[in-house]
Amino acid sequence: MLHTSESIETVVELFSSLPSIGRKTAQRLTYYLLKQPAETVDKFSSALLTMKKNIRFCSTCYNFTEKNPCPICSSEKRSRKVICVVEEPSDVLAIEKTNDFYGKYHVLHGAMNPLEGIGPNDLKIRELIMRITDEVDEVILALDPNVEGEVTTQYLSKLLKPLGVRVTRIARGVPIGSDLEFADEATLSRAIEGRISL
Amino acid sequence: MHLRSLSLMNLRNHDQTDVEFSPVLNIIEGANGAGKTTILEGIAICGLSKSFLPTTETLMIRKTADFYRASAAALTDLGVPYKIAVQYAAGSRKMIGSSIGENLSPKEIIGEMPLIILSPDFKEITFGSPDHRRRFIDMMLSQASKRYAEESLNLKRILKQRNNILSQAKQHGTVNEDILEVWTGSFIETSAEIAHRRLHFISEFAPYFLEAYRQVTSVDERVEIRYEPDSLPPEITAVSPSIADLEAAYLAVAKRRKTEELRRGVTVFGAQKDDMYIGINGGNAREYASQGQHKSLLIALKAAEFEYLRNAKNEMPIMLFDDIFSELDKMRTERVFRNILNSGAQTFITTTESESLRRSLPGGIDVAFFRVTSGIAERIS
Repeated sequence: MLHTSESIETVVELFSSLPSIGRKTAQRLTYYLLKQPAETVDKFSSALLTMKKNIRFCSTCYNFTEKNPCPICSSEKRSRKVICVVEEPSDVLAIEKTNDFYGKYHVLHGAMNPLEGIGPNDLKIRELIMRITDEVDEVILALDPNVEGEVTTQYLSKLLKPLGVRVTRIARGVPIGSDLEFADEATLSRAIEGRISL
Repeated sequence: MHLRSLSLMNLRNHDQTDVEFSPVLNIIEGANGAGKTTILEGIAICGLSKSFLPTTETLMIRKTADFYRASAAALTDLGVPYKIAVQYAAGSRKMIGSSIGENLSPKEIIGEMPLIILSPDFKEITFGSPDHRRRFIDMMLSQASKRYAEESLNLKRILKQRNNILSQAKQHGTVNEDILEVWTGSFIETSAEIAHRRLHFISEFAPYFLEAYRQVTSVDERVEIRYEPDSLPPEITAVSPSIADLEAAYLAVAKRRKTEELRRGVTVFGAQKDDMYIGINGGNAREYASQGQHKSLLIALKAAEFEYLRNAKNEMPIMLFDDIFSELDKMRTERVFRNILNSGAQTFITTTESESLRRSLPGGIDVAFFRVTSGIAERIS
């Protein structure tokens, strides 16, 4: 049963196929766009096409980039001695926002997940190993704190340590700036376990 | 903790139910299939994020509806209000919001409103297979510790992944040793963490259980309870081992049984296979206990669970009794009933006939009666 036109339905379908967008939101977006002048819609469609055409993987760190190598990899200001390994390009963005990391990145594009058929060969692990030269002092593993991220961390650590590089992982702990009593109990419990001496 | 009110929408045969409770005793009567237990299930959804009955979520949605919702308002022992709402629509994630925040995961609300539940289904704890006893321990420990709740979810997830690797290995006849090794490492780490917590738990729980059993029965019977971890030798578990000790023991098992695991394509050891031994007069209760003793054991386990959770949470748990008096004889009924009332915990009882309960009530008690007919609940005087 079709209440609207076929072209409207197609757009709604497309929007609702995006992550975290349900059918209602998809409808709202569609009707909003429909009300906009043609130029606005044109901007959207050409921006999407341009993005898809121009963006590729950086051949060094495998982050998305327009220029190869990417601005971070080609920057002289950033230390070549430290590589921070993350699962997704969005994780690079999160760490960049801290303004406190001056090394380079390496994006794995996922974590090991046998149930979804993702093994080490489906990730940019070989590419990471190739980057470990005498120049690199430390590899920081900053993967998601879940079962799959944890196992991938262990796997990488086993591969990297024999190469004579220092392997570290980010700490697990309580968020800064709020009261301890508001931290969730499982996190707090791990923070106590991972306490450090002063 | 006690519940002030409960609202159910489209839960089983309840279209829209809004009830306010007595802080002491609530007796819910109705014919079989009227929807009495659904009220208790609604409370369980608010406390544990799911029903205490083995059921499929989609089957809990009323036939003509596409979602169910359960919400409750409660007061902690210190008088702080606590609100919780859980909504589920077929095919989507459960939406949970409470006084803690919005968009919560189940593990974030489990234990906030501690519950002790006794239903005829739980008979299996004393004479069924080990998984019923594990579920009993898991439900209690998950309510007592969020870390335990998280670790037990992790164990399930790791087990699934590891079993997938092993079944692939069986199918193809080869396995990537490095991959299997890291998943085994992670599995052992989590298994040891859980076994360690369960061992420690039983040592705290046992005295409560022995005392509770003594109170339920008048005769002098010797009962015992101990944890029986799968594939860990008794000489290790007997001397309060550290997590590292347990990891080392599991690692030895993993090495010894590796060929078997690859051949069968499944994990053959670990905390997901543990059991709890309940003994009576020197024998295993599963085999030796009489019908009556089984009932007494179950009540004692639940009474001990109440004491344990009350101490662990420093909050009075809420008691839900689903139709248990049809299962118990008069003597046990009265004794149990007296103990419940003395504990001061808010209690919910479902029954098909409330007359005999009414008669055994002491005077002056704050009790509310509800009658449920075809999914409609009303408070009666």
